[in-house]
Amino acid sequence: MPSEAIQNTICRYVEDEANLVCVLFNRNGLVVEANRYVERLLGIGLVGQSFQQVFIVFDESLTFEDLIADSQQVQTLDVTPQTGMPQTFYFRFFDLGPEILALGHSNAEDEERLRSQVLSLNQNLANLNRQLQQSNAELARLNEQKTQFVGMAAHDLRSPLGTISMAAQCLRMQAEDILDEDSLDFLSRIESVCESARHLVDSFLDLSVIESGRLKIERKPTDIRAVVDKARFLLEIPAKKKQVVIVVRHGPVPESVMVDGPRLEQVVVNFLSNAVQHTNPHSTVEIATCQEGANLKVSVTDQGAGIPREEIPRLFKPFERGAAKKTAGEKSTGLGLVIARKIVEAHGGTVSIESELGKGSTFSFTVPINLASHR
Amino acid sequence: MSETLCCDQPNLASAQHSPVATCVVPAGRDTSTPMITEELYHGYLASLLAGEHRRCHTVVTGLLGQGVEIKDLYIDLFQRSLYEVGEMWEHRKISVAVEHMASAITESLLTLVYPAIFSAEHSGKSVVISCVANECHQIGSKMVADFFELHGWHGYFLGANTPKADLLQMIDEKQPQLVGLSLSLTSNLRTLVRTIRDITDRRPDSQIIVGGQAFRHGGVDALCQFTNARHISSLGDLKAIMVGG
Repeated sequence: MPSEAIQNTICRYVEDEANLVCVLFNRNGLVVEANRYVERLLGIGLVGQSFQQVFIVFDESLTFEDLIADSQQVQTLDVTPQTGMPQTFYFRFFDLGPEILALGHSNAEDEERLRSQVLSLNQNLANLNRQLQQSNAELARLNEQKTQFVGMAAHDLRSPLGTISMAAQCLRMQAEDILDEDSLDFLSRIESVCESARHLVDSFLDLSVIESGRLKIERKPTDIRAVVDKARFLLEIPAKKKQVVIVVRHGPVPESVMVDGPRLEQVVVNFLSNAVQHTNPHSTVEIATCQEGANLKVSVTDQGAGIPREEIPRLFKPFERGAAKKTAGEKSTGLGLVIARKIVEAHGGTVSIESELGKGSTFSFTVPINLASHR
Repeated sequence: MSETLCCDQPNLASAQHSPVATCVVPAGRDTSTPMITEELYHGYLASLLAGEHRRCHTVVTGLLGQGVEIKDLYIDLFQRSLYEVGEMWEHRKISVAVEHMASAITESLLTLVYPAIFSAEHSGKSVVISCVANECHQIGSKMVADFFELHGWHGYFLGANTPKADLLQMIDEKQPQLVGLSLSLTSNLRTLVRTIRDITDRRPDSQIIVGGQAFRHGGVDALCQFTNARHISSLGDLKAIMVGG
C-alpha cells in the first residue's frame, strides 16, 4: 500500500473513529478543529472554544504558551466528559507553525488497574453482604431458640413452685399455732422466696411470649381509674412497710376505653412497684391519670434519688438495672420495664421517663383512647 | 453427562420434601404460569447489557414481590442472562467491559434474594464452596452455595481467587460435610488438582464436588486419581447430594 494511502487511512481513522484526542488550536489557544472522538466525549462542539474550556485547568497562571513550549514533553491534562467525571489524557503539543496540534491518549494500564480493582471490590462487597445476611439469619435463629428455651423452662418451673407455695400455705394453716418462732420465720421465708420465684418465672414467660411475637392484646371496655385503684390496693402493704403514702389523682378521663385491662394493670403495678421501691421512706408516691389529646396518660411519680440521664435507655434492656439502689434492699428481675414497654407499645402507645437527680422520677405511659361503645 | 457444570452453572429443579425456603406464593396465584416470561427476560437482558442496574433491580424486586420461585429466578433469569452475555462476548458482540458490568449487576441483585435464602431451616449440614486460586469468576459457585442454603445446608462461600491456605483454614473451622470447588479456566486445572490433594491430605474423609465451565470440553479425567472427589455435571447429582446428604 503506498505510504500516502496509509497516511490518509490513518488520518481518516484518527479523525473519525480512533479513541484518541486530536485537537487543532490556533496560536491563541482557540480550537480550529477537533476529531469526532473528543467532541463525542465532551458532548459539545469545540470549534472556537479556548483551551481552558477543553482542559480542566486549576492553575490560572497556566498559559497556552506554557503548554506548547516543549513538544517533546508529555502533559498530563484532564478533560470533563459528558458523564461529569474527569478523565486524564497524556498530551503532546506539536507546533505546526500557524497551528498547534494536540494529541492525547489515555493510559490503558491505569484503566485496567481501575477496572480490576473496582470489580474486585464489588465482588468483596457482595461476599461480605452475603456473610452478613447469613450471620443475621443465624443470630435470629439462635434468638428464637433461646426464647423457646426460656419459655419452656419457665413453664416447667411453675408447677413445682406452685406445689411448694401451696404446701407452705397448708403448713401455715394447719400448724401455725404449734410452730415456734424460728419455724414460722422459716415458713415465711419459704413463702416469700416462692413468691419471688413465681414472679420471676411469670416474667420469663411474659418475655418469651413477647419475643416470640405471641403477645395478644385483648381489648375490652375498661375503666382505667379502676385499674389504677387496684394497682394501688396491691401495693398498699409494701408501701406501708416503708411508710410510703400512695396518692391517686384522677383527671377527667373517659369512663370506658378499649384496652387490655389486666395487661395495663401489669404496667401500672410495675411502675408503682418500682416507685415504692426507689422512693425514700416516709415519702409520697403519686399516680395520676389524665387525657392528653387523643391519648390516655398514666404517670407514677416518686421522691427517690432520681436516675442519671445516661442510664435511662438501659432500663429498657432485659436484665439491666439502674444504678439507683432500692431504698429497702428489694430485688428485681430486670425484666419488668421491658415487659411494660412491650405491653404499652402493643396498644400503640409509648412509655416515657423523666427524672431529676436528688428529687425523683416520673414514669408515664400513654395509649390511644379507643372509646368503648356503649349499649 | 452432557449438561455441564454444577459449581458455577446451577441448574436445579424444584426440590421436594426438604426444608426449603423457595418462595412465598401469594394466595390465588396460578403457579403453573411461568412468571419469567420471554418478554420480561428480554427486557431484563437489554437493561443488563445497557448497564441499567436500577431497571434490573426493579425487575427482580417485582418478581420477588409476586412470589417467584427462587430457583426459577436463579436459573431462568440470572443464569440464562449470564450465559447469553458470555456467549455474546465470545462471539465478539459485546466488549469485556459490558460483560463485567453485567456480572457485577447480577451479583448485586443476588443480595435481594438473601433474606429468603437464609431463612430456610437448617439440617445441621454444611458445605464450603470456593473458587480455586487465580479464579475470578465467582457468581456461579456463589449461586450453588445459595442453593445449598435453600435446601437447609449452611452454605459457606469463600469467593473468587481464594488462597489455598484460607480455604484449608475454613475447612478446619467449619468441618463441613462437603467441599465444593469451582473451575472456570482449563489452565487452572493443575491448581484444582493440587488443592484437592491438599484438602484430602489434611482431612482424608473429605468429600469434594467439582464443577465449572472449564469442564465443558473435558478435563474430568484429572479427578480419577481421587476417590473422594467427583465432578458434578447435572442437576440430578447435585440435588441428590443436597436432599439425601
